[in-house]
Amino acid sequence: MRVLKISRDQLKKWLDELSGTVDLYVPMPAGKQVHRFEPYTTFEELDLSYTRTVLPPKKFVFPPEEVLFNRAPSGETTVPDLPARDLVLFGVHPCDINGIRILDTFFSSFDKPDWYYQRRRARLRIVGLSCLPDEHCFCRSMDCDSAASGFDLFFHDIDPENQDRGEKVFFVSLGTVEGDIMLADRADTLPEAEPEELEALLEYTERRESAYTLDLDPSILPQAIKLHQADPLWDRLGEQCLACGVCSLGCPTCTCFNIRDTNDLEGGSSRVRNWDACLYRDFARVAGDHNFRPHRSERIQNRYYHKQVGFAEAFGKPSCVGCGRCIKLCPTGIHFVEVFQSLARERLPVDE
Amino acid sequence: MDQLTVGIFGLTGCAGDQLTLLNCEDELLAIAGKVRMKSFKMASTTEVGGEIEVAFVEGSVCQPRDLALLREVRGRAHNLVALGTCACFGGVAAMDQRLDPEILKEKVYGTEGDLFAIQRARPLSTYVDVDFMLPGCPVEKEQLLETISCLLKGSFPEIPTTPVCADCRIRENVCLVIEKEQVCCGALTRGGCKARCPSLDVPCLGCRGPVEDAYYRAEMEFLAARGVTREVVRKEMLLFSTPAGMGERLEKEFD
Repeated sequence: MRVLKISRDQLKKWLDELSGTVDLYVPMPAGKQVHRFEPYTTFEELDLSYTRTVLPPKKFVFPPEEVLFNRAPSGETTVPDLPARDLVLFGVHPCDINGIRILDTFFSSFDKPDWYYQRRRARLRIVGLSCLPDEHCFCRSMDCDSAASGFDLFFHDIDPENQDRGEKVFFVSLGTVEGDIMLADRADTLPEAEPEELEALLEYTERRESAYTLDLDPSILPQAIKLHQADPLWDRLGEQCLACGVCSLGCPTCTCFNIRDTNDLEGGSSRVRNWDACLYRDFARVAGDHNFRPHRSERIQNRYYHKQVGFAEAFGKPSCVGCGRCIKLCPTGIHFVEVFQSLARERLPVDE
Repeated sequence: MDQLTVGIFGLTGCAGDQLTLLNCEDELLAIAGKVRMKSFKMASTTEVGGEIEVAFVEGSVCQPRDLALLREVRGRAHNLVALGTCACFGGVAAMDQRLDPEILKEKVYGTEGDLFAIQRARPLSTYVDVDFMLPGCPVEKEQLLETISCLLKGSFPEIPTTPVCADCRIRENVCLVIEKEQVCCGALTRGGCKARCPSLDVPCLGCRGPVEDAYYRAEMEFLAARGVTREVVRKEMLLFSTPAGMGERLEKEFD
């Protein structure tokens, strides 16, 4: 894989140009504490050293609410169009790139791949951006701290603390032909990184690795969950959980949805799908008002079981990328990594 | 169904939910074409008795005459919809069930209060069967229109049962609890409002009423752990987020 060099000014020119031909979304600060992927306005407004957005990029391929089709009073049905232009997401961190790869696997795994997902995915181009972990990140433990594929271009910023340095450069890895095309004719003119610069890139990688403060052994996760299904820990979590569901909504890989029909006064209707979460009481409620998981403790246990055991058994790896959103977003401080450490410490022989 | 016979009735309340219907300016003609209004005092003095397909009832039961009207309406209506948080859960009037209604009356009306009788505020379901609850303070216009549209097809709509936190996170707001250490009732409160208040940096007061399994203890514990006094949390919760009658339980749990 070729690694090219691009200066801050060249990056700005490129994004300015790109925003004229595609729908370009970038990480933007919303107030001091949170970030969101929002439409590109000016280069100066985007935040290249952000840690995580509230919602992951899944909102672009699997939106919180999506009209599947409209039905006119005459009975004719139509599917809403998507914009013709590509949607380029700039600044996606490795955990989120891996999150989209998991969504790709999931939404194409049925007899009929999810058409609505596929058509949004087909217009999505992903430009990655390196990052430094904060106290909630455990992507390294989940083997998602780097992305071998799943991006069209990837920008490495080996000096993220200094955004305004005049001679600042980024190193660009080309992931796909589309990435090459996106850079337009620049790919041929940008210089390749010098050996000593590649050395600096490696040093940065090592610095990044030593910056993680959270650690867990994912190989024991499924066993820990399976063995401890009757553990009192789940009841304690049930006492702490507000069932607000934001851990699921903010999860890059949670895919549960509800489908409902809406009506209008003229007799038309729409079929809509929207995000749902297994933490909600109505999620496992069925006809006759029976509920398979009436208690919060059962629901929170189900979420952990599904992500680390159920999904792993069906798809070969857990549906968790260690992005830390569930930890950061939980109002009552339920901590994914601590839950596992507690389960593992109690009953499994683990090296501390 | 081509035309639905409807009555709109108000018990003790601010009439804000009835006003929401009148505020559907762009849709009023369409509604008028689909709905035969038998009673809507706020809009017309014409009153037609007899059977109706749907009764929308706003407000809580706070007076004997509220109860008489509610029972009469229930007897006439095939479907009874509780319109707004007061009708669904008791709302502000039912805020603190420890207080003696007679003392409240005297505080507000003085000796003029002798002219009418009151009773402890309760939601409609305390006294009659309610077929559908549409909470909100006031109700969301879209959900009201959706309810009418569904009733025209002989069904009820599916309105959100998820908490305000869901709406809030989907809008990617700053969490007022986590990032600003405020008392926000979003986790206890029914969503579907697109998190109007938290989106403007105003904590949720719980005006849409409680989610079905609101967990008061956990909310109390974690806010208390952040240094908010229990009395402050209790006051916020009692405003809207607790259904009538929950007050005593909150006392038992937290004092």
